Amino acid sequence: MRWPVFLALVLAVLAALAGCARIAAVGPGRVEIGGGLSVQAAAGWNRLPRGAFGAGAAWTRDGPGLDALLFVAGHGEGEPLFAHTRERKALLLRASMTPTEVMELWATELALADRRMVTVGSLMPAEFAGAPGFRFQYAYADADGLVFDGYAAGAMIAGRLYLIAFSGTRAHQFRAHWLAAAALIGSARIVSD
Amino acid sequence: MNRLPLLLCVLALAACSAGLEPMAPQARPALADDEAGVWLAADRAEHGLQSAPHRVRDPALNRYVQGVACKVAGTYCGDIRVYLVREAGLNAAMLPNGVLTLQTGLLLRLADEAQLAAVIGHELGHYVERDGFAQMERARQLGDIGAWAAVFGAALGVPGLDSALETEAALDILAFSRDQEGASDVFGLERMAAAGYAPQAAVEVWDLILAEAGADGATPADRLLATHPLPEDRRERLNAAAIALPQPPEGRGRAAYRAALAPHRAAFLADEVRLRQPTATLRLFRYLAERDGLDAVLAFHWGEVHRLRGWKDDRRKALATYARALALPDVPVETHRSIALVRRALGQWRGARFAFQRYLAHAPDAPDRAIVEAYIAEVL
Amino acid sequence: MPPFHRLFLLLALLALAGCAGGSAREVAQLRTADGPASIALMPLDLTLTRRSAGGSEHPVADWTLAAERNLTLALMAAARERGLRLQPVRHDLWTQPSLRPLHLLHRGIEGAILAHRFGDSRNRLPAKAGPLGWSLGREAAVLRAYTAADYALFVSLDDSYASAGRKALGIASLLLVGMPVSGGRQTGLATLVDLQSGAVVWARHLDRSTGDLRQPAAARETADALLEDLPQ
Repeated sequence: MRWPVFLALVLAVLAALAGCARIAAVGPGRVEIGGGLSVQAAAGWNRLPRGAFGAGAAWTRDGPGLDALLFVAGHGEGEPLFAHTRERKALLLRASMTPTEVMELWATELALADRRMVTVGSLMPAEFAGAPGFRFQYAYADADGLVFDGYAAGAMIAGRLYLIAFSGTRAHQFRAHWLAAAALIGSARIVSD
Repeated sequence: MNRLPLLLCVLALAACSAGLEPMAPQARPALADDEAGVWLAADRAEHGLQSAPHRVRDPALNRYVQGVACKVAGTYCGDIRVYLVREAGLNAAMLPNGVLTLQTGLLLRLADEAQLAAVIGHELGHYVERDGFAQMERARQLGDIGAWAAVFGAALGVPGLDSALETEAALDILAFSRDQEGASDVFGLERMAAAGYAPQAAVEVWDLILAEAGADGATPADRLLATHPLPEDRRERLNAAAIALPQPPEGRGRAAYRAALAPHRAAFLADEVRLRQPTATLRLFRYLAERDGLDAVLAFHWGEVHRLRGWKDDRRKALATYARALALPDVPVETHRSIALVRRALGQWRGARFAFQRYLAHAPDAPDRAIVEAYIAEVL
Repeated sequence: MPPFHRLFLLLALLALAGCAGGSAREVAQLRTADGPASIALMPLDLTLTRRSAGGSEHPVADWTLAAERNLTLALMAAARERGLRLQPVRHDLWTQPSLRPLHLLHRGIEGAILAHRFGDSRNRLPAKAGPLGWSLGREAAVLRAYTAADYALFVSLDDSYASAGRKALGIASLLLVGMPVSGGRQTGLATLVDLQSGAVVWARHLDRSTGDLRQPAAARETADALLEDLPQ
């Protein structure tokens, strides 16, 4: 019985954080993510404790080892995509980045998080939160060899990056939760202060 | 407190547990042996590796590396199964059951077949000497002594006994592992020399890893050295032993090695660039260019390191490096897109537009055509 | 493994250490179109280990092989008594490349069930509907094609035993300092998958300091404990 290494790590992070937070249900309804970003969530999403994956916010339906919805909510010049890469100067955002460069940075973050066979592609212009933005697809295998598909959509708005990414196992979770994730991404709104 | 009794204890252990017989060719531990349990775990790991998504499946490359392994292994040929795994690290590892995994980052760095033979010879040493099992057994015995020390220490009112022993045990395991590595160095050297390879290649492999360490804090080379304690004299010992052996001038196999690697080199270079460890990667690329010459693929990826770092001088350096790539045959089409992205970042709109257009002209079916057209419209 | 990973793993183990066994089921009855439902018994995922005096665990090959045989027979006997048709599949089933995605997905789901259903209550997924709510989706159909069964039963189990040295240490520790030393442990998870829908319809978690899979009679006791509230 070799429990997946990746899950053990995620779990451990959760356990370490357990003192201050537990996994909570979110929605149904409009949910504020932070940085002015809000989304319309259907029932069924669980919000992981703050700090999971190093993301601004991370949600899941079946558990973080099977599917994950990650939010980047308005990160600007000199900020990292994920909190744990703050110290790596080569991984910081620039306000002038093109979608191509954001997608490349995403691939690096995945590779550094012990994902294997990371691929990114199918980059297209696409509206995000009513602004001109982009979308792309990605894929990877975790340390146990479980293969994941992913879809990310975002926009650089007034020098700040907003991005929502959903990934799930290729065998089931990506397909099973795709409609819920796509509806959520399509509902993104940004209120600037 | 007096360390003498502890040392005697550990020394006694070393005396009684020394000397596992070398593994015989085509042998397997008997089912009732402790070692069979270690093999069972390794067999299961191998089953996972067989269909792992990151296994490099190219039959030609696998056949080539397995062939080199067989040449070095001799009578152990049937016992060693090579698995190439697509990872930017530079590790080679031997499981107790003869599964040899080689990370593609290592293949990218090696110069020729002789260096590959050196790595395989070293790992073969771990298999034949049953080092994995021996190390586990030793750790278990030390743990047992520690547990007994904890009980007796508490009973006799010497509370520090087990923690003092723990330090002693950690040092012992380090020394044990160093001895194993040193012995494997000698074993590998003799094997590769017997197979007709130039033994100096073994020293070069260590120089290659040492040259990359300490550049960006946690590079693959640093991670490797963290688990392979390498006092400088180990390299020197290897060097002294290598010099004493005959140096066959034809024993390099450079052309064969480069030909086998060629279909994958661009992908392995891209894996290296993706890690964004610019100092270490630039050092590596400079080394590769000096050793093998600069080709368009290496020049493109070299430029990519500068582009992705994007510090003040990097954009100019990136453009200069891309220009060198364009002057060489078989330049990757993405070079034009990268030039465009750098020019755009510099505010050189006309240059950016021109390069984006050249990218689309060279790759009319580019998967990112729509977004590149959007960039062109943006910089009009 | 980098040191901080090890720290994380340790924390994870600590988080799991407190929990005991339990079970959850989505259905009270197994679907029976004509006669009793057929259940395919998947290759058992067992590891039997010996715990050294120092507490480290070492896999034991002959015990593990004996346990595979003993528990397979015991599970079949226990199922027969419950009026269930349990049929073991060939032991090398997972070498089939087309079953690889399903095997890995199921392993991931096992991990999720252990973490979020039977683990620390703070790790529950509150938005998840139903007692379990995990599914293998379409991949189940691949397994259905292979086995022609209605359901698939998966059993993963780790079983550890104190070595002679650890037993002696335990006695010495009790006599000299009055402190017990933990012995062997049996931890595992059984899951039942509806091969029509892919849903995990039942799961049982075992975590106890009794049980011995090396002996046929004791293996029968473990089989009964595993299948205790399996839907009929």
